[in-house]
Parts: sequence; structure tokens; C-alpha cells
Amino acid sequence: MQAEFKIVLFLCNWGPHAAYQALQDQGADIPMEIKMVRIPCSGRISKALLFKPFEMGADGVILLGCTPGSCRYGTGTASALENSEDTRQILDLLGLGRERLQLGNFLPDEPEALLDFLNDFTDRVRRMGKTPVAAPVAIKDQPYSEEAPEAIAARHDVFACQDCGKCTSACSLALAGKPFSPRFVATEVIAGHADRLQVRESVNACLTCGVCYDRCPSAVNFPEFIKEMRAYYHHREVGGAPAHGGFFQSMMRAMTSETVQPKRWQNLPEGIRTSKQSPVLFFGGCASYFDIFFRKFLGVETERILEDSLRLLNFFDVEPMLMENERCCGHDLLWSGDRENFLRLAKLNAQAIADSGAEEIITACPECYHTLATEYARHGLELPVKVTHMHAFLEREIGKGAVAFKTPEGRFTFQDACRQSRFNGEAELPRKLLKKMFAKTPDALVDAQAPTECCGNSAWIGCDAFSKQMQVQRLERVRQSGSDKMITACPKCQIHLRCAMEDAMHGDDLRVEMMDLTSAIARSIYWA
Amino acid sequence: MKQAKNRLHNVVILGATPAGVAAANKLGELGVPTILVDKEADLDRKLSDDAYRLASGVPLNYANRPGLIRILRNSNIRCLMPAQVRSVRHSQQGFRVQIDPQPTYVDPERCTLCGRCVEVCPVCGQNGHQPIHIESRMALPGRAVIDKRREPLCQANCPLGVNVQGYMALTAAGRYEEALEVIRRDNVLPAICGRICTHPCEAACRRSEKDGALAIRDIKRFVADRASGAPKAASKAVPANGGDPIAIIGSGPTGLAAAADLARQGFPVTVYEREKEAGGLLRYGIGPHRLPRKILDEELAAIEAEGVRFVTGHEVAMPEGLARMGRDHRAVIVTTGSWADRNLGVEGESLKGVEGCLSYLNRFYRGDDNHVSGRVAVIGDGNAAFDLARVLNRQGAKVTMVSWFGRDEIPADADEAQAAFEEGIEFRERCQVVGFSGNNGSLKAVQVRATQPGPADADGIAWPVIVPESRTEALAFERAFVAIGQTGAYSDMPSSNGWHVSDRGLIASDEFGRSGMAGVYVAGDAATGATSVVKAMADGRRVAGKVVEDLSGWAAGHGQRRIVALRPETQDFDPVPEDLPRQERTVMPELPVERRQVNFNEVALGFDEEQARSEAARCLQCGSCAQCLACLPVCEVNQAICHDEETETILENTGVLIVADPEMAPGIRGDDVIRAYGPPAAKTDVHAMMLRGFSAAARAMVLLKQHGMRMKGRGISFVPPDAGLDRNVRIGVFACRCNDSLGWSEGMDACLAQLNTQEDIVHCEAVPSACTPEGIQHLVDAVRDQGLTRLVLASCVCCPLNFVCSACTDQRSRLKQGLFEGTDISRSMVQTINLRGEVLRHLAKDEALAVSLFEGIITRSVRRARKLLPFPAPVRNYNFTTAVIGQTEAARYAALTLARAGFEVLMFGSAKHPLDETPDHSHIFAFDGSSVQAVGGTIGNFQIHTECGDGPRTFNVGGVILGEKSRNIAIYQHHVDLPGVKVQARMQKDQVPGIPYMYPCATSIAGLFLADPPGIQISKRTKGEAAAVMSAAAMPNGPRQSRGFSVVIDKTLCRGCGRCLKACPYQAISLTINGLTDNKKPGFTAVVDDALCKGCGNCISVCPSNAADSPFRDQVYLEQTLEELLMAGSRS
Repeated sequence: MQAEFKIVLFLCNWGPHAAYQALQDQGADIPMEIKMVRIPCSGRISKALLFKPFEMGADGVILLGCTPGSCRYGTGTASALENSEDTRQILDLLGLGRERLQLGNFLPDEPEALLDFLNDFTDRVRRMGKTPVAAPVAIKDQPYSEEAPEAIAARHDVFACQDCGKCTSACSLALAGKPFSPRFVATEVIAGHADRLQVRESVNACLTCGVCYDRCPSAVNFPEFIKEMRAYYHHREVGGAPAHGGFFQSMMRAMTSETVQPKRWQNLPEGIRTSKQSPVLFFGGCASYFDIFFRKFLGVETERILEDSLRLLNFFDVEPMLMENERCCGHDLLWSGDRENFLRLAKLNAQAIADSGAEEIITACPECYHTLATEYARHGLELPVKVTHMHAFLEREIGKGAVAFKTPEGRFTFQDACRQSRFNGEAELPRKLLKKMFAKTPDALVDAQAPTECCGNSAWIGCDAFSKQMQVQRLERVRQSGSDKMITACPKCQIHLRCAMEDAMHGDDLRVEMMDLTSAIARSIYWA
Repeated sequence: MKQAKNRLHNVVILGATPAGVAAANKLGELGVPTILVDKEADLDRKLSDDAYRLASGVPLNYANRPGLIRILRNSNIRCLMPAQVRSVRHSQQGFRVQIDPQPTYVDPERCTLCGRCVEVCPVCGQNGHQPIHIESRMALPGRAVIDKRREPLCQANCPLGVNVQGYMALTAAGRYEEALEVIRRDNVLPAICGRICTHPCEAACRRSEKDGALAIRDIKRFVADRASGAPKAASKAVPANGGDPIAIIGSGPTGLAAAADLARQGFPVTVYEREKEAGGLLRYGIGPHRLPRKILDEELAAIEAEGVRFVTGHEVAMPEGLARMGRDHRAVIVTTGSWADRNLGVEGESLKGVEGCLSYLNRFYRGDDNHVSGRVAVIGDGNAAFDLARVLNRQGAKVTMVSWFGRDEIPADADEAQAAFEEGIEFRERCQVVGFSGNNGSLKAVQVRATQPGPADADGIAWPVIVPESRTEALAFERAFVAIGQTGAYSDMPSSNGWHVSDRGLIASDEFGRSGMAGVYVAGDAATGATSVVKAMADGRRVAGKVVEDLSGWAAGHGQRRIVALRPETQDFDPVPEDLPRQERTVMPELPVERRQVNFNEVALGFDEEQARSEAARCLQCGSCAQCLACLPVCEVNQAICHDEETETILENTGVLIVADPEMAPGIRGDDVIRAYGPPAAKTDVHAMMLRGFSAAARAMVLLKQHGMRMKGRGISFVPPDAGLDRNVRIGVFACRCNDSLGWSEGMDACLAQLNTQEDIVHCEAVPSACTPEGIQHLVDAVRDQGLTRLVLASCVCCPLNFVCSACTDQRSRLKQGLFEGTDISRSMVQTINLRGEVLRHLAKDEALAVSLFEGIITRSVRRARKLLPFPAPVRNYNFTTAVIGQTEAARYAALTLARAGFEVLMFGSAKHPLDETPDHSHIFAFDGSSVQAVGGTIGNFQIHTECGDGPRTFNVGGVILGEKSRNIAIYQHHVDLPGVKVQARMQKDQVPGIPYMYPCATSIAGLFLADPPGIQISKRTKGEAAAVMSAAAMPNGPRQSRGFSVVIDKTLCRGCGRCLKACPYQAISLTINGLTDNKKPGFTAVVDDALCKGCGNCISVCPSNAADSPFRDQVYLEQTLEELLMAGSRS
């Protein structure tokens, strides 16, 4: 009989494999729930692969490696511990529970102990019950109907392209040296070559920063065109592989199950005041997940942006409501082509927002802001609330006067968030805030007049050597301009630029301190 | 040694200790023909000893499993296990070693460790051990081992050599039909012998010392009665050739035994019998109360079923008739017995009423005379006399036995006599018949005189003598029967034409049973005089064997294949355990005396099943393996069990002798004996033992230097001979049934048949056993014949790679070797499934589940097979020079050892101590005053950056030995712009993560070795030599297959962040300029050195941009696997 529960077992080739095989040879009753995948070392399994089974509806995952000190390759034990601990924390945040993922370490001559472990884990999973994640619907079974590339091109008026090349000459990727050209993509799709590998790769590589749209004399909305082309490829299952093993897309898809109840706001620092009933709903975004995921390498602390936002709201006497089970807004799914799951998320969010009774949503994340304010409506989901970016709220409140800012130390530059500055045309909004912050020391703000180029990545796709090159160039320019601090407006800009600073060769040459604009304000504002 | 030896280019290693194994590994890698000898049968078990457990907690057998498997797969290494060393002598060419391999009776190349033989073996020894056993599926060599001892005494004492232990074991296990088959192999009259055999076997039973011999005969009877009916195995034999039959004259035990043997070997046989019915003495001499006629008829029918033809009522005149018979028959065997009664030779013996025993019985059983009454005497005291007395008694006669001997000395079987006494037969002991007196020619009285025991003869028998002064006594009888034995029937016959008759009336023949007449043989009582049934049968078989031999052209093989199971005659039995629980011999129930009167009902009633099984279970199983051969049918496909394995002493002339276990070779002395063991008091330090082994291999390498063809210089390119992945997809699916050891289901066949309908699947098959030589050849042939370009191999093999993990088995590795080495089949085209472990193990419990798992796993694998990726095929350049850095004592030994073995060595000073002193050898090129600043590169192509007197210089070498202790070796640089990293050289320790598994002397950089590994208490010289052989063996000596497990980095995706560099303990990853440069700061991309990468994939899990991946089981593969395991509708 087939088991009711499904547990994936990642089995390291060395100690545990020998023990597992002894169990097989002895005809031991290995629980039927367990589905084994053999791997060379427990350190081989990335967080993405640890999480992937949960997206697929697994009820539990086991990672088996060698006991500390006996890893064949030395490093596996520690890597496995880090990867599984991070993933466990994320499972907690998602409301799946860390207990569904377990790392085990065994010597080759410990089959009995291994069997006990497998039985215990399986019993635990049985007690916890089925995973709240519904098994995903195969792409071919999804109701979304595929649209011909020509139709997409037509809708976005790509035919209007005059072949002038302004887009390419402004494109950050092209400037970084990548053989990439928006014009090329446009002409190829028009010519009916959408399924050519080179076209597909270009569509996936596009940063969707929108610079080309800014420059296009025919106002071809290239990012929108790219977004829909990605949906087309996704539906044909030839989309590109997302970076980080697709961890974030995986996590977001898991959130599309209604039965998943994330425990989003478990660890708020003390002193932050929120309310169960409030006309203002604060929408956090995915920063907490990012911080766990990138803890080891980048040490990003994007959750601070949320905490600082809440502090600022409190500062201005707003006690916002939080949605305990807040889900991802769906931005990255939408922009990596998975429109189906974006819509599922969006519907759940729209319902939850409507149920909350709030009148206004405030968010500090430009992607959340753009998605909630614009994309939901584009996809037929009109939210019954006003969506406000944190910066707009601040501009409104600070404009009332009676506040002042401590003088920031150091020389700063600003990094635009493309969803804010270009998609929503609000490049001036952060600059107004910056101007106020630096009112006393305008010279400390360097090179921050014009909107900057993209941070190099979007929606966790298209990451490669060229995006790195682009980021390196950006950071070099920052350093050359004499800045040592960068103010950002999007958590992802922080993540991506920090990643570029992590470089075995360049070392500290690229290091720039980063902080979010909201945090910068929160830390310097005071009642005058 | 007075004169230098001219050594042969090979090595014998005595003892598979960690040192012996380490030495074998290195010599094998160096390509030196090596023999590894050990007392034990299993390398895995040998190294699993807790004393060898590593500090990491991993038992050595698992940690060194790749090494152990490589020993088995290395064609240069021969493992003699188990074996004893008989002698070791010095010789001009090295040593002469005499080795006695101990038979295991299982072919390691064919055994699949399926375990069916163990399941089917009925024997359970006194200590609960089965004679055939499998240590585990991890056994190396992976084969079962059969424990045999010398021939059990019961069998040795049986004239027919019946395998008593075999049928005891089978009976105890309740397997009666097989038991009967075992008996019938050597005794075609089991039910008869189960009743009337004189059972010499029981006299020899070792249990008789304790609590009584086994009731072997009674068990035989039970088995024969229980499992009667036509024996299955001997279904109507068809004569192999329609030629003339062999004639057998006389259908007594001798004739029957001979006839059955001949028929089984494919000869047509006709038995001629003068009486109306066949059986001879069995029918016309033995009472039905002992041998019911129904039993006799059934046994005859069984023999007939084996192809023997009976012609009854056919008298052959002797000797005239023989000549005519000889014309129609290929040979004639005379088995007419000895039918004449012996006379007393006293007065009155011809009186009416006085008659011989056989003469009477013969008439009685023919029905000519069945009424004897009144007072009758039976003269005699043997079995025949008692039998006669009981026959007469049953007719209502009042029987008195007149015995020469005293009651306690009579030669008849005690139970036979006892039965007679119980039935009321009178017994006159100690009297000798001296005459018969009568009236009108009819008997009236028997005259007797008293006897007393005479002087004992050589055999200790005190033959009675008449008491000198005793008087003659007349005993009144109406009839008297003389039952004092038989003589030959032919005493009156003249000799003629080669037909000779002895004075005892027996037909003369040579020792092989040939009479003087051509083609006429004599066997049994007719030649030897009266014996027992079992001896008579044995003689019949003996002569039948000779007939077969004489009829050349009829060699064995025509009839049933007969396996002559062999036993090691020097292996004695285990002693009878002191604490053996006492269990008395089971007594056969008998018909009560009152129900025996005036009928011929069988007296002995036979065992019931419980009695038979419990009595059979008393068997001590002296010979361990019972040779019942029940294991052969289950191994028919693999043909791995060879009960006839003969082992001969191997005389090995060897150039070098390494003694790793002093107990294996006591007494050999000499400077050139390489000893790889420490003093007895030394604490077991497994790393020290391994270093001793490496050092021994180094010394062997030096001793053999004149034959060692050493690569010199550099520039040899090794192109991996991989056929690659054809674009055209032609899939073959092979499912190994593993000899049906876990079962097989028609559903699986149906699934395979279903697959055949898919267009790109050109071949689908379930094979009996994939890892046997035939199985492997079959796969290779199928690939070649059908042009298969993708294989789905569902066996127990988990990966197709040239890679051994701690769970690999002998079977897996030999299947992989057979499939991939020298066959042009690329590893990259194979999708493997551990069918045994993942599917077949469920069959016994839940067939439907197993079939559904089977379908799922096969379907998935076929899908994956279509998406397999080619493995990269790196081409490498090699340099064969070794650099030795530093001038410690160990480093100097390392350099000198390499130089003496014929390698070129460059010597440099270390960073702190410029070189000032070097060993003097023509192969050592020393750079005085040099000091090494850094080492870069990779095995086969290291760069040594040195500061010489005249400035910095860089040298290229293939291997590096560092003389400094590990704390000083932060000199390895995988990139000029990156700081040097500390090379890992510590050994693993429990709870201390971060250190990869390494052999002592090795470092985390392949090709870079330590001359003085820290933490191991052993001499500098041993360490230096060990480092030398490690370096020498690391030099390539043949093309390498591409390794599918090496990580490959996608340059376009790599961000050059360097996380992978930090994750790699082997420094396999370095950075190169990626060409994206803005003239200020070049971009970098990571590259993996295939020679250093071990395939662990830790770099893959930290790569942010999915740039690092393994061509074997890459991210896409793993995701697809998960999807198939988890998504709705998928079955797994």
C-alpha cells in the first residue's frame, strides 16, 4: 500500500548510506513514507533542495549525513547543519514548523540507530499531520491559457519599435558588456523567433529595470512585454533556472496554499506598538526570510527596515495593524513568469486585506508597493484600500513639521529602486526625503541626483557574471565618487550589491556600508 | 645474503591487516603483480575489528572501502583468502612461498550473495551456525563460504557411502523428499535398508560415546516410507543411446544396485531373474515380518522407473548361457548370490526333516512349503537363524534354537535376538550339533554336546570348543534346520573357457569383478560369499562402475550429471560439546508379542514424524556441510557453488615477501623479508599500521626497481577513452532478478513488456543475475548487437561512476567493471537503479506495492535516461618528477626511496631552511641554497616557486612531498593573487568537523604528501618511505576515465564570489580571469580542477547563481526526482 505521508530522505553516500543499505539488506521495516534520494554528501543539498520537497507537498524532509568528524569531505557536516538550520527557521516562519525537517548524523555501522531515527521522525510527522502545502498543480494542468508571442508583442506595441537602438545604448546589462539588446529581443519576437534559445535567454536575462522604456521614443513598454514573454516561456516549461536554486520562488509557491498559515510577525522587538484594529495595515514583505537565507554569507539585516518602519509609524502615533499570516505579495513569481501562482497569492492577499477592515496599506518595500498598488489591479484584483509607500507616508508626516534629523556622518550616495523610481515614476519621492535628512549637510550626499541604474538583479533571475560586473562597476563608481555609505530604497538592492562585495579577489576594495532610507530616517529623526 | 638476488617482479603479502591492505593498495596502484594472503575469508570482516576503528568513529572497513574494492578489482592483485602458508623459503629469485588456499566451495566471481543457498541449507550446527553462510552483503570478496570437515564417520563406514548427515539434516528440517533423494543417490533400496540393514553407520556414530548412536536406520525407514512413490529426480531415465543393453543376471541387492547405477548413467539395462518375481534374497530369503513385500515391490518399481528393465522367470544356464548373453549385451554382470546352505558335515544330515535354512525359505516363499509344525530345531545363531526361527514360529511350530555360542556372545543383532525371545522362541545355548538321529530315514533327534569358549583368536572372538568330557545329548525334534551360513552355488561346476569356480562355490574374478570370460563380470555374494545387503549392494555398484569404465566411449556425462562433492580430509570435526544436552536414542515402537503370532505382520512399526525429526535432530552434523546439495538447484543460474572445488597447494615464486601478520609466516628470517608490523607490545594504532604498510610497499618498490619502467620527464597526455553520449537515443532496459532471491513478479515482466511499445526503447529484459560473467557479457552483447545508446540498469548498482563509496559491494563493482572497462560503453549513458534495495525487498510482504514501485522507478528512469548528460572528458598533461621540499630525516628518506625506485626527484629547501645537505643519488637533483616560497598547481602539474641563489625560479613537477610538519605548510597557492591556504593534513577525529578523510601522509591536495605526518608514533624512516610510495603511486600509469562526479562551473553564471573556494576542502577550485574586464579590475570565474575535485558538491550548495553543478545528478535531475517522488500521480 502507498503511504499517506510523504517524507523525502536525502541520503549521504558515506556513513548513512552504508547503514541504510544494511537496513535494506536485513529487510528492515523502513517506514513506507520515506522516499530516498541518494546524494554524495549532506553538504551538497542546498537550502533550495531542502525546501523543494515542501513546495511539492512533502510532509517531512530528512537530511542524513555523517557524524561530526567523520564527514568524508570534512565540510559536509557543518554545511548541512547550517543549511538545515536556516531552512528550519524559514519553515517556522512559514508556519510549516521546523520539526518537519530534520538533520541526522550516523556512522556506517549504526543501522539500528538509523532505523530508530527514521521511525521516530515518521511518527512525529504522522502526529503533525499532513503538510498544509497543497501539492502544486502541474503547469500543463493550469487554467492559464498560453498567449502567442506575436499577440504579446502586439499588445505592448512592440511593432512600434523604430530600431533606433536607444534602449540598447542605455541598457545596464549591455553596458556591462553582455551581448544583450532589447531591440534584438523585440525584432526577433516580431520575426516569430520567440522560441529560439538566444531570445529566451535574453528574455530571462533582462533586469526589467525600465531604463529602456524611459528612453524609447515609441514608448514601447519593454518590461511589461518581458513579463508576459516570461509567462509564455514558463507555461511552456522552458523558463530559466532562478538563482539560489529557485529557493524563493519555491517558498512563494508554498505560500499559495490557503491552508498554509505563515507566522510572519513572531519576533518583533519590544517597544513596537501594533494594534489588532486599525485603519492602517502595515505590509512587511519578505525581508525576514531574506535575512535567514543570507545569514551566513551576506549578513544582510533587511528586517530592520520593517522594524524601523514600524518605529516610524509609532513615532508618528500610528499603531498599525499587522496580518499575522501575511504572505508574499507575489512580485517575484509574477516577474519570473509564474503568473498562475502569482494570481493564487494575489487572491489570498486581496481576500485577507479585505477581511482586515483596514483603509490604508503602508509598505516600505517598493516591490510590494508596486505589486499591491498596480499589478493587482492590472490582474483584476482591485484592493478596497489605499496603498501607500512608506516614503510617501514619511513625506506626508515630515511635511507637517516639528521634526529634525541628526546629522549623518560620512559621505552618502543613493541607490534607486527601479519599481519606485521608474515603474511608479516616483524618483523624486526619496530625494525629497534625502534632502530633508541632509538639509544641514548637503555635501554629504554625493552623486544622487539622477536615478541610478539597477542593482543588477530582479525577481531572483538572470544572475550571472555580467550582473556581477555591472554591480562591481556600480560599487566602483560609488567608491570613486568618494562615498563610503549607500542609502537604498529596496531590500533587494542591499542583497544584490552586498553579494557583489563578496568577492574573493576584490576583497575590501568594493566594500560600502549600506542602509535603507527608511532606517536612516528612523535612526536620525527626532521631535524638534 | 652473500649474493644479490635476481628478483622476480612480484610481491607476496602475508596478512590482510591494515598494513597488508595498505601495501597491497599501493603496489596495485604501481602495477606490481601482488598476492595478498590471509587466514580469513572476508576482508570486510577482517578490517571491521574494533581495534582498527578510526579516531573519527568510522570502522576501518567502511572508511577504507574504496581501497578494499580496488584490491578486488585490480587485475594485478590476487587475493588468496582464506589460505594458510605452508612454507616460506629463500630462493635465488626471491622467495618460494607455498600457500594452501582453503576451499570455500563458492566461486567469488559468480556468487551474487543472493542468499538463497543459506535459506535452503537444512543444516544447523551445534552452535547454531550454518555451514554455508554469508557474512553480510558487504563481504569482500562477496561470496558465501561453505564450511566442510572430513567425511563423517557414519558415511565413511557405510559400504555404500550413503550421505547420512545429509538426510539427517533434511529429515530434521522436515524435508523428507529431499532426504530420500539424498539416500537414493547411493542406495536405491532405502525402505529395505531402512529395515534390514546391519547399519555399520550407527556403530561409528560419535554420539554413541555420549547418549547413544543415532537411530539412523530407523530414520531412513521413516524417510523412505514417508516420501515413497516414484522419486522425482529420477524420472524415467531415457537411455542415452539405443545400443545393446547391459545384462545383469540376478535381481538381488547386488544386481539392483548395479542396474540402477548403470541406468542412471544412461545405459540400457536388463535384469534377468530366474524366479517369477524379482528381488532375490530380499524376496526369497527374508521374512515379511521384517521386510513386507509391498515395500520390496515399491522399491523395485522405483528402480524400474529409472529405466531398468526386468525379465523374470528367465534362467541363464551357467556358464553356457553367458556366452550367448555376451553376444546380445554390451556386458554381463553375474549377481546370482550364494544360494547354497552350508552343511554341518555331521552324521545324519541327509535325513528327511533336516534341511538348510535358505533351501527351506526359498521353497517357503515360493509357496511350495508353508506348513511347519511341531517341535523344530533351528541350528545356528546368526541373523539368518533368528529370522528363520521367527518365520517358523509364525507358522505355529515350536521352535528351539540350538546355539554354538552362549546367549551373550551370539553374533546376531541383539534386537533381532531379543525380538525372537520375546516371541517365545526357546534357546539352547552352548551346544554343538554333532549328529542327527532318525528312524526310517526321518529325523527324530538332534545330538548335541556342550561347548565352552575357546581361546580368543586374533579378532578377539573366542570360538566355542566342545567341553572335552561332555556327553552327547539327544534332543527330540521333528524337523531341524541348519542355519549356519551359505556357500557358493556353483561348487559342482567345472571350470571352462575362463569360467572358474572356487572351492567355496564362488565365481572367480579379478579385483575389478572381471571373470575370465570376456565382458562377463561377477559381483556380490556370488563372488565374495555371503555378506550383508549393504555390502552386496556396494559390490554391485563397484563392479558397475568398472563396467562403465571398461566400456570406453561411455564416459560420464551421458546420464545424470553427478557432482562428486569433496571434503577437506585434514579438517577435523568439532569436538562433541561437553555440555551437549543429553537426549536418549529414540526407541522404535514394535508390534506387541501377542499380535505377532501366526501372522507375518511387520513387527517394527516405524517412527512417527515427531520421533523421526527429533531423532534426526540429535545428529551432531559432524561434517558441518552435509553435502546434501540442496543448495545447488537454487544456484543453478549462477553456478557459483562448487562442492567439488579442489584446492591445491600453490607454489609461488616471488621477488619480494611482505609479512604483515607474523603468525602467517613463522620462522622466515632474512634481511630482505619486509616486515610490516610493530612489536607485539605496540598499541594498535591503525594509522601507524597503514604507514608500515605503505613503507613496506616502498621497500618492495625499491627492491624491484630494475623492472620498474618509470615514466620520466613530462608531457604525456592521457585521453580518457570514453565513448561519450550518442545523440541518437536507443534505450535498453535491464532488470536484474538477483537470482529471484527476493522473488519476482509477473507484474514486473508485464511492465517491461509494456515498455517495449515505446519507440526509443529497443530492448527490454529481465536478466537472472546481472553481475555474473554471463550476465555481464549478456549486457555488453545486447548493447553492441542492438546499438543501445542509453541503458537503464535496474540491479543493485546505485551509480555508474568510477567511484566507490562506503556502501559499494563486490557485486556492484564487478558489474560496473565488466560493463564499463574495455567495452566502449560510456558511464554517462547509464541510468542505474538499486532495484534490489528499493523495490525487490518489498516483494515478499506486498507484491502489489513492489510491482507499483517497480513500474514507477523504471518509468522514471527511462525518462531520465533520455535526458542524460555527457561527462566532461578532460585531457591532462603529466609530469613524472617529484619535488621533495625540506631536509628533515623523513624527507631525505622519501627522496632517497623515490630515487632508488627509479623516479627523478628534485630537492628544495623549505621556506625557513635553505637546502644545504642532500642524499647522494644520481636521480636526486638538489638545488643547494634553494628555499620554496609557494607551491601551486595540481597533481601531475605542480609549480614549485623557489628562491634560488640567483633569484626566483619556478619548477614544474608531478608530485610534491613536504618535509615540514603540517603546521608549517601554508604554502599552497591555488592562485597567485590569493593568499596561500593551509593544507589540511590532520587526521579526522570524532566531533572535530572540517577535516576530510585522508590516508596518513596524504593531504587534502591530491599529489601533495607529507613526509612527516604529525601525531603518529613511528620512525622517520617509515614515514619517509610511506610518503615516497604515496607519491609514486599517485603518478598516473594508465588512462583515466572521465569522472562524472567532478563539479563543473558554468562560466556565464559564475559571479566569482568565491564561496565555493571556501567550501572546498581540497582546494579544487580556483579563479581565472573571465574576460569581462573594464581594464581596471578584471572579473573572475571559478574553475574546478578535475584532478582535485572529489565530487562532494559542497560548493554547489553554496553557489548563489547555480553556476556550480555536477553533470551526474545535477540540480535538474534532483528536482525532477523530487517532483516524481512527490507530485500527484507519480508512483515511487
